[in-house]
Amino acid sequence: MSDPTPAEMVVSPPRKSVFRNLSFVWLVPFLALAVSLGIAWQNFADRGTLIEISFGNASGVVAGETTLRYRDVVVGTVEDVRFTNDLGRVLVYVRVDNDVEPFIDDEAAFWVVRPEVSARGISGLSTVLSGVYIEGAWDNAPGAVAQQFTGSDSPPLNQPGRPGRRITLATDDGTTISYGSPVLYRGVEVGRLEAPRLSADGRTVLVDAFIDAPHDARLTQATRFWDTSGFELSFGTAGFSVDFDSIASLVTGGVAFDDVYEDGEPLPSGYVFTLYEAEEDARRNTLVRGPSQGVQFAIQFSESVNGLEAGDDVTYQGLNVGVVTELRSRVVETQFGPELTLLVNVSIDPQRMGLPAETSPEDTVDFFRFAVETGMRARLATESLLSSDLRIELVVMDDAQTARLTEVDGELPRLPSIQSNLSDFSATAEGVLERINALPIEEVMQQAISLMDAFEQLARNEDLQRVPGSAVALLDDTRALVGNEAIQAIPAQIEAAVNDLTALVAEVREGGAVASLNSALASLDEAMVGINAASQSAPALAENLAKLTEEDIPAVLAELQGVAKTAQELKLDELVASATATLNRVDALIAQEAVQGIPAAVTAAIEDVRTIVADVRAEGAVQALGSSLRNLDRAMAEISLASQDAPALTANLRQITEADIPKLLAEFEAVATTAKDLELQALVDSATSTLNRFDTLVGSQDTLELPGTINDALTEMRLALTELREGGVVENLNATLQSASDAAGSVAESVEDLPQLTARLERLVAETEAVISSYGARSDFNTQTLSALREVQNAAKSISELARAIERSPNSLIFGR
Amino acid sequence: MANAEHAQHILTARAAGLVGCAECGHVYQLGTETCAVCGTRLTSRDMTSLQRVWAWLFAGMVVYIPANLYPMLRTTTFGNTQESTIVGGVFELMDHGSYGVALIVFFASVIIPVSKFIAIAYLASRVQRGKPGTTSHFHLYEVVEFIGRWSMIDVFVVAILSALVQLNFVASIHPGIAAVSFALSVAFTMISANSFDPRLIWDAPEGKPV
Repeated sequence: MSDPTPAEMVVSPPRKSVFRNLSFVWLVPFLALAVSLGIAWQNFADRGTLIEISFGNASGVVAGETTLRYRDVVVGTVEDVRFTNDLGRVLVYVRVDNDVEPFIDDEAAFWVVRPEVSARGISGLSTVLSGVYIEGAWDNAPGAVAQQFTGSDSPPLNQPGRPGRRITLATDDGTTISYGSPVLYRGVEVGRLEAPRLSADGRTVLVDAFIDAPHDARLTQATRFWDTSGFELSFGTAGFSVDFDSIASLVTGGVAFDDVYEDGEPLPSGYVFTLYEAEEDARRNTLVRGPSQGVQFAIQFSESVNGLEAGDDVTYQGLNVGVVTELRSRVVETQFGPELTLLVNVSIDPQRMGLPAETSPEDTVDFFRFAVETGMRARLATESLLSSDLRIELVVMDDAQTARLTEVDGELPRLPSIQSNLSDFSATAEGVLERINALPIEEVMQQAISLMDAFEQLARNEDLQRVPGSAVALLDDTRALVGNEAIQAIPAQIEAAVNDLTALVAEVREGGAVASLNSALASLDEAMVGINAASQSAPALAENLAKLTEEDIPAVLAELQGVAKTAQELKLDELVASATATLNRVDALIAQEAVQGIPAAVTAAIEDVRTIVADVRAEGAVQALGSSLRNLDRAMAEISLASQDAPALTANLRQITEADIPKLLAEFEAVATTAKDLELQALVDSATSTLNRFDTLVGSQDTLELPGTINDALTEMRLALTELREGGVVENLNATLQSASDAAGSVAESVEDLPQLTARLERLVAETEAVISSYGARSDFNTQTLSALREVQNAAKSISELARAIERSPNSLIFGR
Repeated sequence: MANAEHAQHILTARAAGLVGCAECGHVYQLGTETCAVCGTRLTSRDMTSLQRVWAWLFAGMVVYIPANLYPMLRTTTFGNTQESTIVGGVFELMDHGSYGVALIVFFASVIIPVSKFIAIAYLASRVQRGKPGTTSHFHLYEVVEFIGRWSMIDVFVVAILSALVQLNFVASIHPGIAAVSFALSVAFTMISANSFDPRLIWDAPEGKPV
């Protein structure tokens, strides 16, 4: 038996779970992975749809950089640029944003925007720096998604989604039409032209135009287009006019349109507009809206239709109602044989005549039939006064001859015509020309020629030709005269004369003053004699004087004041200047030789005087003089007696002196200062020059001969004195001296009364003192007195100078100075 | 083996029955819970370290992919926008002849991050497989930890350029997705390197960690 032994237990540790110790950190890498994948997926989902655009060339398009823009907003980026298999075109792959992608359907247009400079301006300037970009255009409605597109090199005219209308124009000449030319409506750009192309048959140039939205509503069958390229020169009655539209249209060409009448019919599909060459053409063709629109008539003219051509207007009362369509001649059989007449076909628009739009041609003819019967006629008229262009005018003549609308089967109804008044104008012009012809132009020309000849002869005259030379000589003479030294010296001479005059006036003034002085001295002399007599009755006089002092002296002083003022006003400065001038003149005088001869004469005169003196001494005149002196002596004695009373007087005087003299002296000082300022220097200079003259005079030969001459003169004088002596002069002198002696005696007598006089004077002085004290130190009187004293001082200074001069040159006395 | 013999000379703290504080360096008996000095929880070995290292390393590698695929810089000059990736920028710099700068960028943005990935993966796998570590391994770890921050040069350059070059139309620079990715990648690898417990290097000869 065997014990059941339990099987070996397989004990294995519990399997550690992988996740047991799994850290939360492991979330991080998974999160990062998730985020990265998320970003990647979002990027992939957002990268948009790839579309393929083929271009003829892709200049400037760079993969990864060039953007696709819609309304200038980036909506995609070029991802790749490749070629088609045959290298014919460039394929540009653009990754377009998902939100725009649904709108990019079959009609989407793409083009490359580059910087472009054209006559209409500069566009795409921003691409200069940023490089080109692809512009896309599509409408606003999501459509069937397309992947492949064909791009154009320039912006398409009718961009998808851009409202407007595309029309076709037909013209004969495409030279002035270029791609992108503007379409103008009243000068406003409302559309663009595309490139012109030829029609299938090659006869017409067709050009498509795109008219922008609100303006395309204006297009009706009444719309006419015309070319505005270039400019238009016109010369007419309105003058000279230049007409061009915008400069851009001048360069690139342009087309304008307008409605030529109201209420045009709407455009049928496939309608082709005619492009007229000028606005006039377009407007003139208002009426020709096709063969069915106008009613044809014929007009027969018997006069020249020179100036009329197809396309000219037919007017009724100035209103355009039709157009000339054809001119032709035709042979008409008349009773005088075949005759050539002119037929003009016109097309008349019944609507313009006021007939309803639905009027049939027959009704129109009926209307005209009636109108002709009532006087309507056709006639030729000029377009304007100056031009020879003609138009046809429908007029209603009340007094016209009866006529009918000629209607022949197979021919156009014929309107009757009347003679125009064109020839009248011609006749008048002819008459004017005849009158001009008749003018005696030849005679006038002859006269004019002879007149010109006469002028020519005159001009050729030698005398006349000499005139300019004479005039020049005259001018030269005049210039020489003016340049003459004598003439130029005149001003200086005038100045000298004026100076002389000044000097003369000064002399006269001086002379008058001297005379007055002389007379004054004479009067004084007389007064002294009077005083001599009056002094005997001095006491009474003194009393009177006392009274006078109290009453009249103030008035006298006032008078004195006035006199002093007058004296002050004397222009001494000028006087001194004049004196200086006089001295100069005297100087000159002295320089004269005649004057230098004087000393000789004087010497002789002195000699005579000497003899006279000798005679006088001999005749006892000296004795007489001695007696008069004795008399004087006596008088002096008397005076000395009288002077015993003087001390009192002296005291008074001293008082006056002490009180007032200092002020006086101060004033004198001021006066002296003033005197210093006077032109003494000039005076001294003059004196010096005078002395120099004297020096020369003395040094002259004549002066050296003076003694001899003086001798001669004295001899003559002696002879004269001898005559005088014989004439009793000395006796007269004796008598005179005797009288003087008597006079001195009288003086001596009168002096005896002096003590009393002195007493009176004493009182007088007291009175005077009172009077003087009544005047303020600064009163007018004082001032005037001081100024008067200043003048006196000046005079004294002058005298002293004169004395000094005489002292220096005593012989000046001899020469009258 | 030389390595084994060399390793025998090393006495780890764990083998000596000690545990050191990671913060202040104090040494305690094995089994002590917290550091008496600084209060840090004491662990002789961080057993979750390797997991965190691997996790952050993977995260760093994941975000390193968009960092290289997406543009780092979006430069706009005169309305012309250019986007450049890291490697593309390096080639562009070389085109312009700036070989020095290209070298620096290439070194900081490609060599260093990739080397870090490899170095960390190598160290972690060694520990994982219980291979004995040597001093040179520890040096490798130190280098990786030190150099990690320098990988941010690229990010700084982008940040500074974006802030400075804002001249509107003339020139402006914007950071791309790669800038963020790269910054994250660097940050993740730094965290990964930090998570690595270098003490595990020495444990390897003793066998698998418990």
